[in-house]
Amino acid sequence: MSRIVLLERARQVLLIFLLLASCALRAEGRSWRVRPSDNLPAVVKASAAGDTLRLQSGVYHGDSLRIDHALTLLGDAGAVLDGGGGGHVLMVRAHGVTVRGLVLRGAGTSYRSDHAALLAEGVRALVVENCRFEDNYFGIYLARCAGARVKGNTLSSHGERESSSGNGIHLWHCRQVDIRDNSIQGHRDGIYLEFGRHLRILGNHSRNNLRYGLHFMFSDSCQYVGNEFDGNGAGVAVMYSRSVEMRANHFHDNWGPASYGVLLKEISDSVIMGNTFTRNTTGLHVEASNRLQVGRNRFLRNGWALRLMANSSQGVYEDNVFESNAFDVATNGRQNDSRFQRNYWDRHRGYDLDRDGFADEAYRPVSVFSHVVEDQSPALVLLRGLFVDLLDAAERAFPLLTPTSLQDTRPLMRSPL
Amino acid sequence: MIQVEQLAKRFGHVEALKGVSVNVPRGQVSALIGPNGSGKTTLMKCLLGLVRPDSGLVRLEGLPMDGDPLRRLWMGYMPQVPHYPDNLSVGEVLDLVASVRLAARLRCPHAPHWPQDEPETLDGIFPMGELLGRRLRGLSGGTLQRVGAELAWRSGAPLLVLDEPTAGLDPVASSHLKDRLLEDRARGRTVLISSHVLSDLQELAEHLIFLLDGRVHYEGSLAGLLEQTGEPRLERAVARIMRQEAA
Amino acid sequence: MSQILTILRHTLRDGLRSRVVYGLGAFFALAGWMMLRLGGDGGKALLSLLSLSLALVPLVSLTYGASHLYQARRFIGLMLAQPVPRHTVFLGLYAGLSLPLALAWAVGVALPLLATGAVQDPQALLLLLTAGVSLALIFSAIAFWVSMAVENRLKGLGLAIGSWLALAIGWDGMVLMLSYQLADYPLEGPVLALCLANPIDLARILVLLRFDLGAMMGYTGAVFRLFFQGNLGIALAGLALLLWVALPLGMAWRAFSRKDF
Repeated sequence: MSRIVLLERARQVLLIFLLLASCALRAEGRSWRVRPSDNLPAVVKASAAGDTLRLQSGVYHGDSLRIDHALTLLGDAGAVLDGGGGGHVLMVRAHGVTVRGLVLRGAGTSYRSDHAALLAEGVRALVVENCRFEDNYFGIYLARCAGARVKGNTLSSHGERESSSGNGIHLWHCRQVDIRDNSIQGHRDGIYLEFGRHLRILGNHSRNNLRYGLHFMFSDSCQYVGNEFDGNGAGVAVMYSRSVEMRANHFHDNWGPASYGVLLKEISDSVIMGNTFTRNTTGLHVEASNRLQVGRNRFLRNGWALRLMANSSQGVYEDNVFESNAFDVATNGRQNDSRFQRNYWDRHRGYDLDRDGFADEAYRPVSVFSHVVEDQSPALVLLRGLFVDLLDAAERAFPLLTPTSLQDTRPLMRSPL
Repeated sequence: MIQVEQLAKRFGHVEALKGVSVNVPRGQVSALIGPNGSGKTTLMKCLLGLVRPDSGLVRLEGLPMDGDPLRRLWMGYMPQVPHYPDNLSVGEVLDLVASVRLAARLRCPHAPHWPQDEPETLDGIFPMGELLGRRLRGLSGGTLQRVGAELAWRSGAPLLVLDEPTAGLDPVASSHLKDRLLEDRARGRTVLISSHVLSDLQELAEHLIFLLDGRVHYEGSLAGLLEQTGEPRLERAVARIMRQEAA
Repeated sequence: MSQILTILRHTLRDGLRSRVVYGLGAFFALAGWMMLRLGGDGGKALLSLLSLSLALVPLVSLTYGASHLYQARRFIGLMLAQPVPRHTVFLGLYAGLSLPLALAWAVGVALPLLATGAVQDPQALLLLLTAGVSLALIFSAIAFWVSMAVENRLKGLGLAIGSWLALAIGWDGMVLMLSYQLADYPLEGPVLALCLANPIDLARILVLLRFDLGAMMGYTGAVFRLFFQGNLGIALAGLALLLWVALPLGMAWRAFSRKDF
């Protein structure tokens, strides 16, 4: 190669390198150390997009702090943003904001506005990680956001009444948001989703909230995997959504007359697999929900394990385990077109002459007494009495009131567990 | 020793005793006779408190019985039909009654024991030894009668109330029992005995109570009745009375 | 005092020799052991044992009790001819009937549960044992009453079985019918009160409140659960059970004290 070409090549390389270097320098942004005595809003204003603010330990008073450009807020241990009961604490109004390691508290209760510790509207690429949210009205409020990640946060509040409490993590019209490994308690609803799409709710623990541990509606194609919901006032209620996937969650200890492990209302074409329902008044309540696949779940020590209302159709219930429930399956009316197969019913005493592991006769899990109780709830006091047992036995032999089609055609002889 | 005043008892529609007043004098053998259904067993059971009379009074040594169970320390009873709890053995039932009476005696130390300070037993005539371990369930009627007699004598009570004691006993046992009664009579024991075997009663009894249809038809000495009817034998005397009644 | 002991010694020994008594204990021990083997869960076994006990303990107490007491006429006749007061004989008989039954049942139920260490909730087991023992005492008392008041043995046994049918099955059926008839009225309180008037239902509800019944019954259940967990509630329940023993026993005593033997 000639010398001129070589020099030219080298110049181009150097230019490109300088260009890249300058870009990197520019994307790197500056790093600010902030102390509690500093004026945080002023620091934010003075910063540029891409900067990192490192807040040192201490309490930073002030509400409604606006983040208008892409910033990374990091908190040292003990760095607290305290809204003092005013309005919101942190308001994110730019894409690409990251909040990590901060404690946010003091979003004030209001009957007119949904004051949140962290409010983000219409932003992308928000990251909220490892923060602690204490005693806020709403914890994290995302509206019209996409691509956010809410991970590893702890949200706790001390709500006393539903009317004066807000939700822990509240998503409205959001999409592609990851909510994972958070712990929420003491709010009105632990996780509230409305008009969501492709949301992923993974590995969270939502407990002891006043109303629902999880409450979503109109949110299609969302995934709920590996979460734990317990001790919430009314359990979990999900409605008006399609293509929902609920897997490997644990719904337990939701006791109370209007408390459900999971209440499904108008949920269709969805999958409920591998979950555990333990010690709930009602484990799974299915209302007007069609084409559900409910499989490999375990219902243990619930009052009513599965309440399948007659307005739900074409459900498939397979490979579930029912153990130690007061009522295994309850329904209303005589209609049913859902299929039951290969479930294990601990009450079932069948025989298996061909030794294929499945009982030779179909099993009807609905107790006529559960029907009676739907009609006359005071009659529940007769539970486990001899009269009721006889009534059930008679009905099993000659069904008059319970739907004949609601039967498990191949009930398992032994519990798979 | 026992005074019965106007005892009346009705079982449903049947009036078993219609105002019976009798005496059981101390130190004598009194015979209680009458046809079936005349109220003999009922009267005896009233003395013991097994049957509650509808009205009337029973006095022991002048004092009313009053339903006080301790009064029964004065009485030893041999029932007409020996019914004993099946599961017990002879030895167990003897022990049971003995313990129960002993406990009562501890509460009532002035109750008489007859004979003085000696345990009473019929072992001489009805040996109990081999029977002690046997369950009452499998015993014959005669054997049970013997157990009954043993129980009555072991009570050590000054008054024996014997309801048809020789019924069901074989002739040998029967005569042994009569001999024993004669011995006791000689020692001054008070006995009230009912029986259908009137010839036996003639030998044993001095005082006679004749019940007919729930009422006292005759009460007094046995000799008196014989004189009254002009019959030397009690059986005939009674037969004569029954015929007169039927007529 | 030693009279009652003497009599007790014999009536208790008599009761403990009974095949029915042993059969009852053995049946429950076997049932409990089998349940634990098949299911493994102490709580579940307890609930099944509860159902079995509620059905069987009253039935066995009634039928065995009535039959035993008709048999005992001989013993009674023997004892009443002795210087023993009637109330001593009465108590001795009642104890000899009810205590072996209660004991055999309690041991039969407790043994497999305790031996396998499957008991997760000792208070629930205690409640179950109290319930069963109370039922044995109550229905023995009813059997006593029947056998003293009814002369004819067959009629008496029939009455005993009839009262079991009434209390174990008929009562609940009646409650159910009433709740349908009066469906327009708020019924939870009255229905509960009716059930508490039946000793079998009372025993059942007390045990079940510890399990699932309280939460399933809505507001009334919550109230009742709190009530029966508090000292006042337990005292009242205990009082109700005591009354159920005392009343039939009192009636039995009335019949016994006046009876001719």
